[in-house]
Amino acid sequence: MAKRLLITLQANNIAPRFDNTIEVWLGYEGMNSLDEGELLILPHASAEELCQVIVQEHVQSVICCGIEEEFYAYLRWKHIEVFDSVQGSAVLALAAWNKKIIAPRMVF
Amino acid sequence: MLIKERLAGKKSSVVPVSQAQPFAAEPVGCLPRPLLSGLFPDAVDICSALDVIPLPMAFLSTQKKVLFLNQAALLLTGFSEEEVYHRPCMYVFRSRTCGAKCPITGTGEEELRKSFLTDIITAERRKIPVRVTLSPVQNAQGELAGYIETLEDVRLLHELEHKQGWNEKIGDMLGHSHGMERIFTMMSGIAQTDSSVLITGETGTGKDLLAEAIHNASSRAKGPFVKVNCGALPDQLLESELFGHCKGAFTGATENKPGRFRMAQGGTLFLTEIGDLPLALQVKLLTFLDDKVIHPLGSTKSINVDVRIIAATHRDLRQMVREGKFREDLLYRLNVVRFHMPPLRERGDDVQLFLNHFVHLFSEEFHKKVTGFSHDALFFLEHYSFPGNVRELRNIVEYCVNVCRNERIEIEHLPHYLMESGRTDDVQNMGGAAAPKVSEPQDVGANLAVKSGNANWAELERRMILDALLTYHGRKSKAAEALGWSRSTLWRKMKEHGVDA
Repeated sequence: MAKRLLITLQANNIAPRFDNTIEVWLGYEGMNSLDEGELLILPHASAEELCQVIVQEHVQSVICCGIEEEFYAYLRWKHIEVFDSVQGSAVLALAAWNKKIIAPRMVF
Repeated sequence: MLIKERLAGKKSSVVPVSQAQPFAAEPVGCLPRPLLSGLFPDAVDICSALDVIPLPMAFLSTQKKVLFLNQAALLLTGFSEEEVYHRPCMYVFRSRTCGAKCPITGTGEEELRKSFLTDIITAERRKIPVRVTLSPVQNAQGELAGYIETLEDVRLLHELEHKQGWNEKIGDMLGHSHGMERIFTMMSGIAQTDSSVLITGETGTGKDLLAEAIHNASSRAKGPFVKVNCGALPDQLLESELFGHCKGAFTGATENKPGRFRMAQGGTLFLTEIGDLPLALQVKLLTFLDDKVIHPLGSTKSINVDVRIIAATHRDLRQMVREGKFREDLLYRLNVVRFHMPPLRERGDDVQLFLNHFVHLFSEEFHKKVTGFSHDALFFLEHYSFPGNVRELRNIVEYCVNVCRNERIEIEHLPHYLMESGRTDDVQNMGGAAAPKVSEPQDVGANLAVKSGNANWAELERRMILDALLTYHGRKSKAAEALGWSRSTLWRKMKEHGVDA
């Protein structure tokens, strides 16, 4: 079964802060562009609520930039992969994730 | 509701997987090492010099890319030198203000220095509260060259805040902005002298409080603090009030009266609205400042008085000198030490400080459970210009605490006059971001402010969106840019307000 991915967005880039994100992209392994998948608009920025969304949407991988240890640890406890401190283009990060070469602190 | 809107995908280009390569960080050896010459006998590596400064510092380009972080900043952020070079600063600092609220416009039209409290998330996933001070830097031709940013770790300050009895105030004055910190720093030294002080500033900025604080910090603190409002009394009575009179000096003077100067003997005389002092009395005041003697009305004898003078005004005394309404020599004598109280709109985070302070003050006084403001109400107040300054802010908070029945003050609890026509143009930025620099988008908000009438906040926002969409013929990306919002924010607000484009 294809893995489900969530990317925190600010325009077409990775959002600088997990807790300041109101726009996220949801998709599956194999999707090559942000045209595919879904775009979620959140009612307001909240790290706790975004974690709830991640769990409810059965996300298995998260690509984001700055995230507090508390929420990182929570997602890891839920066995969700977190690639944090990723910077730059969301679509390039997606491509790297598909290629399985993505790692924390990568810059695109 | 956790999800406001669910859309099918996001427009972007398809990228072949082969192109997904990470940005290659610059090797340390390739980073620029400019030299500073002309200061020390020999040229020095400026980066090494900046590394010894314990305050985290960042040099940014006009495109908001990091050019240099000193060692203190690298330690604070948790990144290495090569990881930050030429990276967008929002990815290095990950501050709460990054994005829509970023104060850097890249045009050089920002304030000379802007200071604000925020927090950053480090590479080690720690959230650290910081005070950021941002200054544009110009080249020799006066053009914008970049920015210097300092980040002050305020964790210790926040710990101290939670200790009982500690607050950011001197006397009854609160303030943590750069302007107020300068005043607090100067005040204690000036208080110890006997120099005349002139305090200027708009109405409601705390001139009276500063005068009292100076008196209380001085060696005259045990003496009287006498206040006279020079604009409150008719000219004829003011002379008698200030300098006293002898029995029989005029009709109705049935006994001797000492006057405020003598009442302030050994202490401080605070003359507020000094700009309203009649010219005739200005001469008498000048005589006192020169010779330390006064002449009561109707008396032939002069009286020595030991009084320190503090004067305050909201008027432009230099302009009044030019118009012949104020004596130039008196201005020079009063202007020995001058404090200018900044208006609240220039005091940055002090607005939030005051809001918190007064909410707690009035909650306790009225025995209510109000603890703070909602996000929308706080946003509105932080962008309101407070023409009445601190006095107006205090009145607004007092009203809100009175009418609020919940724990948080909402938009509907704010005084209606804030939403009325002519007041909404005080809301500097309804969109939540720096105002766009093209003239047309600014007209969208300004025109709306003029037309708004008695609309409440939600109606105002809806009209603003419709106005922007009409102006840009339904093009949402242009409308969003004009409003200072991201496309997703515009989409969300359109749905909230039932706007169907």
